[in-house]
Amino acid sequence: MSRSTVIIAVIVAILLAGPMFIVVPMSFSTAPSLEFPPPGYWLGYYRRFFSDPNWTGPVLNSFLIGLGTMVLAMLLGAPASFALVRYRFRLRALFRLIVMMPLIVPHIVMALGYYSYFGSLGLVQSMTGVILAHACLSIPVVVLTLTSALVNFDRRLENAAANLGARPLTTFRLVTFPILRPAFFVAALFAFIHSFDEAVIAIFISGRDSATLPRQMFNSFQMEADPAISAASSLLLAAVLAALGAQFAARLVRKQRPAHS
Amino acid sequence: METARSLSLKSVTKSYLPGQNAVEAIDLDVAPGEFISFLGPSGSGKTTTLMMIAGFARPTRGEISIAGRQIDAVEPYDRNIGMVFQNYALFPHMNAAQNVGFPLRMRGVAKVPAQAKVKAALAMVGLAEYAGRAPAELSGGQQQRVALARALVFQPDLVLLDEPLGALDKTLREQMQMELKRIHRELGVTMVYVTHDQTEAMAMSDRIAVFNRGRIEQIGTPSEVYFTPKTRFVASFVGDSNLLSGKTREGGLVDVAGVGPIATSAGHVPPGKDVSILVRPETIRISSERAELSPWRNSITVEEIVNYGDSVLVLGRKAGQELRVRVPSMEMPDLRRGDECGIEWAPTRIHVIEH
Amino acid sequence: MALDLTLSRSAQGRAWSAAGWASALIRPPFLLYAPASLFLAVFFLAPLGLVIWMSVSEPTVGFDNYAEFFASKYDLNVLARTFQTALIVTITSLVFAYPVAYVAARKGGAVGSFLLGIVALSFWTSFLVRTYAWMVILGARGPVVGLLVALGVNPPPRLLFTTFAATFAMAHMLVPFMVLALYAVMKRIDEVYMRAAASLGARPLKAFLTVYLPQSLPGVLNGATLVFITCLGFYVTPTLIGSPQDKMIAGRIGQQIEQLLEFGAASATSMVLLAAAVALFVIYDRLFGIEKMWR
Repeated sequence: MSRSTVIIAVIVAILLAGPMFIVVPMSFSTAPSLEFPPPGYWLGYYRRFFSDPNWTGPVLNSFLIGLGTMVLAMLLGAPASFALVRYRFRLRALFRLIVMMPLIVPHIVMALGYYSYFGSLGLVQSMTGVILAHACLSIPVVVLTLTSALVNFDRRLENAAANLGARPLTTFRLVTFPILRPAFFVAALFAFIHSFDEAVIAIFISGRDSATLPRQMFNSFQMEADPAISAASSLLLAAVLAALGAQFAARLVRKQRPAHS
Repeated sequence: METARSLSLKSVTKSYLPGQNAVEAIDLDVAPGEFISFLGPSGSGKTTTLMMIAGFARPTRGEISIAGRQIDAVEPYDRNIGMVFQNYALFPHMNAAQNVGFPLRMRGVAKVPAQAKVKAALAMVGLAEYAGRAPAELSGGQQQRVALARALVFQPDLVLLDEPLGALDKTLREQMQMELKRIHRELGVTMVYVTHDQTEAMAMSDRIAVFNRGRIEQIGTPSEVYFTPKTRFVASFVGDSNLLSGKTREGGLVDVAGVGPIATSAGHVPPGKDVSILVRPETIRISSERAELSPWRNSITVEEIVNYGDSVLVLGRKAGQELRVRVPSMEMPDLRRGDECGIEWAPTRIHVIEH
Repeated sequence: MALDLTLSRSAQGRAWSAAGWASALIRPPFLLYAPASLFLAVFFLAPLGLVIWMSVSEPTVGFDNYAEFFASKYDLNVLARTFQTALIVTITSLVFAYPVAYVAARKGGAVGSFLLGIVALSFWTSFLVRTYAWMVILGARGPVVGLLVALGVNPPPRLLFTTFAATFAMAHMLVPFMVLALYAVMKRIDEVYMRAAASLGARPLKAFLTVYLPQSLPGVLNGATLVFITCLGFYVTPTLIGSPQDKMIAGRIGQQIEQLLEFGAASATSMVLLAAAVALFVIYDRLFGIEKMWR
């Protein structure tokens, strides 16, 4: 591969990530609005972010909604994944389609649907409503993650366990689940993030008391651009960086552990 | 002494699709302590049969019993059969000792005696020092041994081995064959061994069941299967062979088109029947001089000579009929491609397969 | 929904139905897929069905909402603009993503990890954060305008709240999706093909064009479909930094809901958007199978 190709790729990558980091200096800026370069630096917007209930409330809501979504999507999506991978049943194709559909339907369409539907159920502007909606969107994410792990799962291991005397539930507890644990973990994490990041449906149905962080950010962009938003953005960016960094470090540690002959 | 532990299959049939039988009417009795191989090409039904014995597939018809007990309604986890899986199926999240200890744990064996048994089982396969290693940290041969220890540690009635040496290289495979034989001898456990490698089946088994297209074509000792195959398939699948078609005459002679009458061991076959005759390449003697034609002598034109080191394979031709002759290197006469040479065989070594 | 499944299953008279109704109910796959089916029926299909229903019943029963949509020059313009923007975004992100995915897949090592790390960082960072970054960069007091002024462009052009800003930002945001779709296919292209091409006398560029590029096309199609459909329904970024007059279709729906309270019209517009997305997916599914898209 020619050196120039590599250089082009690296430049594109830098252009990809670079612009995001502009939120970091902005978060320390003293300017009350979008001014770059900042006229001065301070920590005031972080203080505001952590003390203003207009920000702390949504952060808490987002966590709770994300956790609720994660639990619900896992409880529904994990069995669905096993059904899809391990059984051939009637209407399996239809089931697969229904499970995947939330990925296909644009969120704005569902936002409209939930806005009216939850209105008639009395669930609009409630955390429950957002969790139910987000669970629908996260089920396909869970199913995609788990089915791809399940397809690669060597079922001879379960046969081996049965052959050695393990009953079905014991086999699941001692063999299937421990081996698939990383996939379950990743699926749950994806479900959480999918909910935590979701903006459109949250904007339309979460209401004021159950507002999520994305909704609060969206509103503050649209209204007066509360500068605390730069603190929020920086913290979100830092969270992603920390998560990726931890993953990278974990991989390094695994690599360095001496391999046996 | 307790009652004989043995395996018995009665007209066992398995069909996945109506009208198509993956396994058809298998009848088989295995004596206690016997080492029996299921030999056949892939898709011949040998693995399906093994899976039915283990309980992972249910026979469509027929019965399977172990030690006189009918087991078709018994779940795999209650069958008490040891099994070494293809690619071993070692649990990747458990170390060697935990893998070997798993069946004991399932059977509620107390910790201390279980540890002792695991230790003994690992020692038996020569892996006493590897108890703490994860499967990923073991070589293929070591994983194989762990799988074997795991299948034996709970003293099962029967041990099934599904192509256990398939993934190993040749030297290691031969070494493991010897070791398996030793363990079989020491424990006296009944073993059913599935393989597609005929030399492996020959080397290890008390008896071989040759599978083809869902049926057992022949069950017999290695030398029965090798020297007196019942069908053309068995003759060609087991070992190297010359299979010639001909018609019987009086006195054990068989007429082979283009070659002439050949003296065989089949005096009992009535004349005028279409038969195949099997001449094992290593039973033919070769000399550089042309031989006069007789029912136990002929001459061929050498078309190719392949040197295997310990033996030499001579590919010859006689009037459209190809003949393979295998000669120990020490006894190989000076021959070149295109030479004409004499061959000679012992009529008692020539087996006739009736159609 | 779930009940229907059981009825049709037991009606088949398969082997298990002999054991009776109860055992048909507790067969493992039913217990596994019934909860998700029921949940999605009540909390996904029903609200979606409501949108369909509203589109033909609000405020009066009939196809008036659709007739109005297709008679409205404004709405047809929105639709055309949406498709045009999605196309530009798809092509732009493909052009930028291809070299990144290509180098990451073929080079590996530190450079590969670096590229994938950057892509992951960008992929996992919220759309809102990235939109905010572009608001700062393209803003009236941002660095780009500052640079232009310093270079003597006065008055500087308006960058923020334009279709250009939205298009540019969306392309930038969707590059990671494209890279991942391309990379998934590319990392499975065996290096041996390029060596074989070289041994047969193909120069690098020729080998790339004749051997590598065709094998990477499934990834291109994956990525392009994914990006195009995402872009069709994009709401946040166009609403925040796009032109308020020249809306895209998702923004138009939002406006019909929030400002105009025209639920029937919003539903009809939604159905047009949904039809476009579903049509693309159906074509894609026929050709490749849906599940492959997110792999």
